[in-house]
Amino acid sequence: MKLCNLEAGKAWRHIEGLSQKLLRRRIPFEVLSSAPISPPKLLILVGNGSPDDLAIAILSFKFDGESFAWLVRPKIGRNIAALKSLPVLLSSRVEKIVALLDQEREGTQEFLLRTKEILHQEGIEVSEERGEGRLSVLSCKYHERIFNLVLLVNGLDKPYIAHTIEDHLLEAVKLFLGEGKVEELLQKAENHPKKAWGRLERESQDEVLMKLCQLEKVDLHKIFPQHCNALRLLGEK
Amino acid sequence: MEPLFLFPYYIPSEGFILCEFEDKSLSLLLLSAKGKMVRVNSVKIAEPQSETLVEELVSADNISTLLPLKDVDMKREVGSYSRGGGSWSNGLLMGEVLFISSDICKEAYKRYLPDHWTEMVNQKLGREIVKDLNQLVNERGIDLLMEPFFSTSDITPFMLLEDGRRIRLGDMGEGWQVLLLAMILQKLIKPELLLWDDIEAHMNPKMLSFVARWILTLIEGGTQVLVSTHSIEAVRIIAGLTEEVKQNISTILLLSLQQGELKSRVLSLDEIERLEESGVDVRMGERFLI
Repeated sequence: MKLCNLEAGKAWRHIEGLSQKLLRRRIPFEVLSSAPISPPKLLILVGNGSPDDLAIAILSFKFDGESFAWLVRPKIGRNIAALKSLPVLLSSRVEKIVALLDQEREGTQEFLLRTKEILHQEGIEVSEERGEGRLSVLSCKYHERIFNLVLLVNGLDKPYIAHTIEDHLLEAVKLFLGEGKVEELLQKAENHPKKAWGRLERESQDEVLMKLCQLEKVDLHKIFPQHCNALRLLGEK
Repeated sequence: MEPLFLFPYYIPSEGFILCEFEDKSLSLLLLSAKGKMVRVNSVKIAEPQSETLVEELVSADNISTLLPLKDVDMKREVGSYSRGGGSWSNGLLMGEVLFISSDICKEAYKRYLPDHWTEMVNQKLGREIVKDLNQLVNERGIDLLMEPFFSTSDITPFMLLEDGRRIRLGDMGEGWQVLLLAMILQKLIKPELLLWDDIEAHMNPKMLSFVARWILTLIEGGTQVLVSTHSIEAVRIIAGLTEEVKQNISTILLLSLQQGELKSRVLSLDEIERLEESGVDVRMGERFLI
């Protein structure tokens, strides 16, 4: 999937930066694109900053390289609060929105309930709910607009104190730099995955991200199961 | 009928060309160099790609109806000026319409300003405008002069400073030059419609704030002002001030040329800000929003 960025801000800079670094190694990573003649009907909303934007860019590039999606990183609030931007984003013609959010310290059911509360506050009605755990599809209505909201929640069943995109990235660290490295990072970061990833040197982070770009889909699925399932789902008509 | 169509073709004659789409055919309207609107009667171009046909139409006898500009609904029919004609001369400056762009300003400095210098001096426009513009530069200008530049025979406009020094206008910042010229031309021509292309070009926020105040006085004086910009800052400053003083006095239009069709969406400043908070820069999101 190619991503059409809606602002030349941080998300664009991070993804373009990764793309340039990969280009220097002769690895193509042309995931950012201008909108095609027929504008995409799919929007990917990144509720948190980086490296969430990089992770979704890598996965989008690896899955269905031909279709297009808009990419936004709202500033209105982070994680679930970013959903407050939905009424504004629905002034476009998008029909499907994927929200990439962190599970953080809540259980998946609690997280879903809180998400629905936010949607309700914004005047968005949820008529149907499918899926479970960290991937669910909500059929929504906002005034006359009917759309599908795909809730894609970062996190793995690991004994971490919070669940974020770094849960997945630490799995990649394990694969590329060894299990010992992850244990060392988690120990220093008091079992917090975000802090553990943050303790990894910038060069090593880049290395892990670049190696992810070269992984086979089947291996990516082991690291990002719900993300890959969501992308497969989106690829289905 | 589609409301607006930009016509990019070269035409050999001087003047501005305006076009109107009806179904799939094109009607031509020509703004002549004499400040009159010339309508091409009942002539339609089925294939607007035909450059030759356009040239024939413009020079043909079928241009017969002369319409004063005020009779024409400019909101629907504003188009682009022809490029590449070689000589702009008076064709740039319509009686009732003033079009400001960097290209036109350069030509106006060379031709229009020397030709109308006496008129300008008699109306004391140089003094008045230079005094207004002092707040934008660190020099105290008191008047404009037209003098030879070194030993060349060309005369050149200068700004006379309080201490007697002179600064060649060509050495001032480009934004300042464009603004000075826009103000001079506006005072001389007193247009009903002011068009300003890429208003943000060479302008810092301080200068744009000045332009916003000036535009507001023009609007309040009855002039219709149409500006184009790629700068959100310019939109905020200009539309922000005009809205602050009088509601519904300005309209912000986001334009998108899609497969030859110019589409638009009206946006308010609030909407632009809400979109920005939602991660959408309207300039990058034209295909998303329209």
